[in-house]
Amino acid sequence: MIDADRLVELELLARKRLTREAIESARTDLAQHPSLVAAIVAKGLLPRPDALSLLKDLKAEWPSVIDIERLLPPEAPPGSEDEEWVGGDDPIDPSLIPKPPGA
Amino acid sequence: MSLENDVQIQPGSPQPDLSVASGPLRIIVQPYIVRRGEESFGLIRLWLDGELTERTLDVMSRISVDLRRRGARRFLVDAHRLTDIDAGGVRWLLDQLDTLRLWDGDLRMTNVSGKVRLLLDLMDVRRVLAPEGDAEVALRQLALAPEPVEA
Repeated sequence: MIDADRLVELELLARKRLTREAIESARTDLAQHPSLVAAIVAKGLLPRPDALSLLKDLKAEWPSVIDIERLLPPEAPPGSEDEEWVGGDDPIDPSLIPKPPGA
Repeated sequence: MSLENDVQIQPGSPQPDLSVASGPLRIIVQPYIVRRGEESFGLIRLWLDGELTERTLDVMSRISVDLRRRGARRFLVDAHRLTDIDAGGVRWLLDQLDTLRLWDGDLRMTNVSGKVRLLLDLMDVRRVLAPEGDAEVALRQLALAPEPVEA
């Protein structure tokens, strides 16, 4: 006698595992193509928090992808998600720049 | 001479009048004639193109009932172009297998690959539905199974 419920349960488990394997495979592919990750991030196809999370995972396994992080678009200032950030033109106060040790 | 050497399998042409395209599944029916010793009988190869899931089971059942009514008892399900299968599809295949074996028939899948193969593996049913071997091997096993009943 075929246990229909058991088959459904097995199918769900199988699909979860397939999804996990697909994600792992995609991560491997992305890690081998840092410029692709950078393009995805730069075009905003991957939200910054997700991009940072992905980069964190990738860096743990593939340290060579660390350079991608500098290609991320600048983080918007807090509270400005709904507004266009125009930045500031004022010169930076030199006293705010940390001095290197021994300087 | 062993029974295995005394089997001839002759492919027929795909039957457009029996084949069906419905939604995400297309089924092409190809009959074979098997000559085994003194007897001869038919064998059906079902070429599936698409998905065997809950939403395509109606058409599969319809075609299967029609073919069984015509006397078909041995089925080779060719999954070369099968893109997906779910628990409903697997259950349907297992039900068919049980029913056909009660009637001295059999069912096997062949050309199972990719996602479908992984799903069947992970659901632990591939060995039952699609034993190792290519389509030729599967056809031969279907032609030989079950052993003829002694008169």
